[in-house]
Amino acid sequence: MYDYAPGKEDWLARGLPTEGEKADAPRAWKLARDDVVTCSLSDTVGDVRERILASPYGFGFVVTGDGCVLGRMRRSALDCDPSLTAERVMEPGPSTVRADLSPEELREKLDRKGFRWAVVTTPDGVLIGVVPRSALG
Amino acid sequence: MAPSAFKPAVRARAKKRKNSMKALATAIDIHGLRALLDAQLVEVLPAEEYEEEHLPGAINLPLKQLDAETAAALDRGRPVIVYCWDYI
Repeated sequence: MYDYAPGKEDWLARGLPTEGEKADAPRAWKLARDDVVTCSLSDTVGDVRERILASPYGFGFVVTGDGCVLGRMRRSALDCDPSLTAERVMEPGPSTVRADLSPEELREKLDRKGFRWAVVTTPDGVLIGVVPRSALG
Repeated sequence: MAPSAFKPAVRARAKKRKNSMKALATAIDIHGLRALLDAQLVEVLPAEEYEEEHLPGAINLPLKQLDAETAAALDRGRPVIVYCWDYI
């Protein structure tokens, strides 16, 4: 016999499918857009600048090989020496939200912090996507 | 509704039962769960929580009702994975 010790909360927080009365309820992971630019710590500003400038988000994420978020690179930080690495210019440890939050919980969290974007990750910090405040009504 | 909404005495009894069960079970994480392809998933939370939402394919055997009779529904030839809301 085995015990999935982290439990249902862990499963939900990973944005994994469920069954039951609330299975179809809107959640952060269902609203998240997964086409944000990502790069590694060692990528340079020159490597990613054009991709971030061309994206609709105005930022990209620095991630590990497993997709774990390490930092964010904003468009405003890209006007610098293109040889600088992402590690040098990123803002480390952006605030993130759980994948199972409802739109109401997301809206409340973003409004409380004055954020325009919610960064949705798994409990391990793996990027799922981003949700704009504008999509939450 | 998370277990935090239940009365402390109910949670304490559930915790005692869960601890007894944990002593017999091997703790696994999400990767361990996914590796056990033929496992039977068992949610041990109360029925109303199970009905709200549960892992795909899981059956409900609430801790309070777990005994030899209710567990007889399980296939002894396949692994069994029990889960609760979180780490208790």
